[in-house]
Amino acid sequence: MTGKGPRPARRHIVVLFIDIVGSTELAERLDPELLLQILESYYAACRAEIFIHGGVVEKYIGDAIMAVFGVPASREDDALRAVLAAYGAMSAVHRLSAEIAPTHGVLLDAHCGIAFGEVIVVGSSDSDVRVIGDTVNTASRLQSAAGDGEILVGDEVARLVRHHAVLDEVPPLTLKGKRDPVRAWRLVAVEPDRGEPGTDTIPLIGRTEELRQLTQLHERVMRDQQCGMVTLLGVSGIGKSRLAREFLHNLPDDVTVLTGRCPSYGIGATYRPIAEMLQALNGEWPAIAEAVGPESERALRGLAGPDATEYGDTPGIAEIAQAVRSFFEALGQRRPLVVVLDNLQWAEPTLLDLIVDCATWLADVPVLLVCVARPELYEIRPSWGGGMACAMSLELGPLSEPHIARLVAELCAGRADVVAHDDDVMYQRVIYGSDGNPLFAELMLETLAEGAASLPPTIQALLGARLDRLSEAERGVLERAATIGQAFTVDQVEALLDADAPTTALPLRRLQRDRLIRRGALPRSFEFTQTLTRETVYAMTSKESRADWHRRLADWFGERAAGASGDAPFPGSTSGDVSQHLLAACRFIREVRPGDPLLPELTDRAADSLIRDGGEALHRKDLPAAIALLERGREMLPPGRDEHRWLAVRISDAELARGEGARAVAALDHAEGLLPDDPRTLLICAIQREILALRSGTRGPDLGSLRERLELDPGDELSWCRFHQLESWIHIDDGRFGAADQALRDGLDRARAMGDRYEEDRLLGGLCELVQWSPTPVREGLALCADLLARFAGDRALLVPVLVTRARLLALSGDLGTAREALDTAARYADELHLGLSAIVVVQVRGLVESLDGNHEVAMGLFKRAASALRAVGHGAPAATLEVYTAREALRQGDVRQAALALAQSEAGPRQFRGELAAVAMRAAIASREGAHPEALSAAERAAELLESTDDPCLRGDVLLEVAEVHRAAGRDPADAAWRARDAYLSKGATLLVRKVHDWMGEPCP
Amino acid sequence: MTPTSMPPWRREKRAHFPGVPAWGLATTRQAPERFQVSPLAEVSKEWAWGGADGTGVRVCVVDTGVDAGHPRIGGLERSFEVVSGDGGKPKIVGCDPADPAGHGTACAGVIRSIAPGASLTSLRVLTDGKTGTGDALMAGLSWAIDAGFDLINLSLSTTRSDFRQSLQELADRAYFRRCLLVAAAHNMPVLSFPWTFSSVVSVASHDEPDPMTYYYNPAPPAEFHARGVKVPVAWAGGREIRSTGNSFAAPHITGICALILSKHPWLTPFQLKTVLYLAADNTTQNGEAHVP
Repeated sequence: MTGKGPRPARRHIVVLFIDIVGSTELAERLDPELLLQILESYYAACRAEIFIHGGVVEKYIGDAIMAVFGVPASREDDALRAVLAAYGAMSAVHRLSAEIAPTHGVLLDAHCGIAFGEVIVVGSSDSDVRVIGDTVNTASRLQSAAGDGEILVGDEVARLVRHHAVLDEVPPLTLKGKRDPVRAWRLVAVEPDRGEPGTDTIPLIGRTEELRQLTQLHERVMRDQQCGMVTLLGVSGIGKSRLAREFLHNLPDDVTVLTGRCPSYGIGATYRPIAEMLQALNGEWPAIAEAVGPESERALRGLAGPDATEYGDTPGIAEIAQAVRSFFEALGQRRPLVVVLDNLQWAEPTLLDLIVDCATWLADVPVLLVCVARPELYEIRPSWGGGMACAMSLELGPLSEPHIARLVAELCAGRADVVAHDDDVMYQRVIYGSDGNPLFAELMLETLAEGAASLPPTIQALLGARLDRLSEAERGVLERAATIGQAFTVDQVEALLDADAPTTALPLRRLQRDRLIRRGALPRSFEFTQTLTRETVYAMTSKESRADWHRRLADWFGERAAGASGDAPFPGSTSGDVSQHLLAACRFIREVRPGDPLLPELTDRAADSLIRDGGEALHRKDLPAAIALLERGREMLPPGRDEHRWLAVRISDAELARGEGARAVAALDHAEGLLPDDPRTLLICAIQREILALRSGTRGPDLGSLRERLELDPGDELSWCRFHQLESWIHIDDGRFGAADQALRDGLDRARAMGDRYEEDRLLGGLCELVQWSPTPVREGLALCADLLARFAGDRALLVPVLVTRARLLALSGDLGTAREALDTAARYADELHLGLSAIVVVQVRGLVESLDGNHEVAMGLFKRAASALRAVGHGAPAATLEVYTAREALRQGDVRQAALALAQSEAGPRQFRGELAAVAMRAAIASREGAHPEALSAAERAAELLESTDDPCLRGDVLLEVAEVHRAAGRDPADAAWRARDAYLSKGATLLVRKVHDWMGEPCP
Repeated sequence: MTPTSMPPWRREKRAHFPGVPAWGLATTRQAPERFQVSPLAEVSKEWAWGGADGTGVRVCVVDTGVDAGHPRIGGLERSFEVVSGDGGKPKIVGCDPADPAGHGTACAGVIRSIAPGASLTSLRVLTDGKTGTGDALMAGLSWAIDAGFDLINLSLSTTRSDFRQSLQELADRAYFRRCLLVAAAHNMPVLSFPWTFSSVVSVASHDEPDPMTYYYNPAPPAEFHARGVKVPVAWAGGREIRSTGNSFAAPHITGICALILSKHPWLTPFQLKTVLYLAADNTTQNGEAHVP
């Protein structure tokens, strides 16, 4: 629908009538030409006032002008603008009168009527609009009833402009054609800037010290050009957000402020606050996109865009963290930046990590992170804010009695200019009963002022009582809004209303006026003024309604994601919304209508959606979110469903990756409990248990019996897929890389047969790492790398290991330049994304490349560096292998002593098979250099024996070449070992090493 | 009234004298006018108001209106209210002597109980909700000052600083016209107006039951403490209630001022405040200086 057509629409608008007083008398007394001239000036003046205040002149009736406000689009301040236009027009008429009075001897005056209500609007362009409805009559009658120079407004208009205008109630008017007397108000004065709803009219009380500290920290951030973080802590209603607003309000104009809130359902909505910040930024986006670079731009778009991205395109948490840092940095370098994160007690752990990460890594960027949270934050993150330079926390306690008293006085003053000084019983009750909580005090006062005899005892109950006093329409809108969330849009609320329901404009205005909601950062968006209000409204809404609305919201978000266009860079996030709403809908229906025939279908949808979101979170490596989502999906999925097996495996994987071995096992127990008699479940759980055991270092899985069970069910793809992974790990541990490679490929076939991208990614990642060592030729390995570089293009964290493999394979093939380039890229990515372990691996492979290029001193340095870095993070076994490599590089430089030293160092702690083998070969080589040939030969023989258990062609080649060298030094024929080395290299396609063997043997390469 | 019957402080500004800077008086050409004074003896309560009943003193109660028919009121001189006039400008018009809110009646009743001979006039600037607009207060107060009342009781205030300037000007004007504003302090620890101005007599509460006991506060802005806790007051609908608030402390002082002025009619507001000060229960005791 374009909205341009002539389709009549029911709308709430404001109608204004203005007419000149005593025009008949004027016509009698003035020459028609002069009258025309005067009337023209009058029309021009009125039209100008109407036009500049956004009104449309609908028609002229005699000398009267009828104007409408709210056409073609209604705005929240239509009534105020109409009143301003009337006031302006009236002043213009009086000025005109003063001009002509001395020369023409006539006084000009006008009278005016304004009404608000529902009408039918036909046509929508300025020139062609017709308005039909009783509101028009009301406005016209009000105008007739108004005295000279008076502006009379209807009851609704009076309510809408109450905060901006001084109004005097006139006795109810009996208007022509109206059955009941109409309440009317005379406009005395209008001040558009007075008491804007949404701005704080009451001064901040009792938080001077906190405000000073906040301001000082911000000044320090700006002065020292460094990042700062402050956490504002306090219970609901104590004034955290108010303090934050005051602080933001006082900031210099050039400071950029970004605000994001964590939704109370949190789960899976890890990055929602960031998405909110991005959404509020649409206009500035191009400049920022350029500053953050393409990868970050993509990641940020992914956060705030609709959920239409293909699975697997989602960037991982490291990529997102880097993008958010760049985003803050880009903004912070343009202008000082303040980032407010509200309701942080509901943040996902991954977001908390991200905030800490920003505070740590943006050290030299002038950005102040303001974290607003209830004290529960310390329950989920006891160490919050600890150990950070330039971080502080401010705990807001109850206001002192004098402060609360002042607040109460200010609140009263906010209700009237002048107050009598009796009746302090009520105020005393508020002052003593509010526990120093400003919100509590405000609610109590309001309740008492409305004549309540008793006060509910808690803030929630008080809030509840206040909500009970709302009109049905307001309550209806508020309940729907609360179901949507802390922030909501008019469109969302309207999606939850029946088609024939009255519009939301009026209730929304009233709710704003009552300060229950305030305008949001985006057009047509609102937010609850108090988080507690939303929680209370939500809790008070019937489960029946909530069930229905959550279901409709799920559909709404789903449709929106499906129909999203690429116009706006951040049309609004939907990620997780569908799941959350489906989940909530199912939970409520289960409670109130367990037999609902729609429930099974809905539950299926919820489970599907949650599992899909959980899968995405897992893909991003947002493990806490993944686990939470998958567990909820599991909760929704009826027992006995096959998907429980997938869920068990994924939750178990995520827990293992998080280092929670016991929970990883518990996930399997859970699945076995849900599907106790299902052989496939029992089997997959058995396999996964073996995987867990293997990963935790306990050896000895019984593959034989597992295989027997599997063979009974050749179609159990998941179990087979996982079995092959288990097999592959066992082969790797045993040095059988060819078999491991094959097992992974078998697993891949199964994963592809299932269409399971998660398993496929896992297997491909494993395979890519493996092709460095497996007999798979370099050429094939490089092809795999090329595939994966395309597949993982969206997430540099996944690209780093691929680039590392590619570099190593390129080096083996002799293309050292390109290998170094790949490593440079990998190093840059690892550095930007703060991937510590990957960075070490890059250093290690740089060592291999330099070694292949004959730069043994450089290679030695690199291995040494990588080894000590690995030891530092507790990876002793691979560090030991690198220490053996250090020894080898020392020896290749002829430094026997240092080689022996490094070798001795490597003996501390456990060793990998690869390390052990290389160490034996090294001992042989050192003995050989020292002339201890018998010893060298025996060690070489031992190395050759050990070698038989591995099929890693390069490892074989390297060791065999060492053996050949030992043989030659001992005066034996090295040819057998050397040619075997060459064959191993040749089989891998390691042409550089093949050449090296030929050179060493003094034979030209074929 | 003819200029001679009108005291100098209530006349139009006199013409400028050539040769003397503005605001001055050429005493060589025109002798300073003789006017009556009320000499201050040693001030005691007895000297201040012994035997007085407020007769001859005109008091205006600027409030929610006053119910003239209430037994504690016993009639009013006049009754006025502020309404919206031409072009929305507030104007003062006569009205029925009614008070649905009861607050103004309570204040008037206290004054009447202390100074039964004083003339009471009601000016309604507050609505039945005991609140009102700043514009109505400004218009009403301005009118009452010009109307020549000796005392104006203001058991109200505003916290809006937009009105501070104009209220201050009105308070000064009243002071120079020998019209004393008696203003109640706010019931809460906030600064509001006009009670915090030095040209008015500001009153807060003490919690003793004697209506004639009042104290000078050596640490203003509330300069005097008068009975304001659980005061039996007249209320709407002919009722009587006990109520607490600085609203009811102020009319006690207004009543006492009416007594003093009826005995010493030529006291300036400055002197009147001095008499109040000297006759307070913590500054004199039967004529002897009270040592705190």
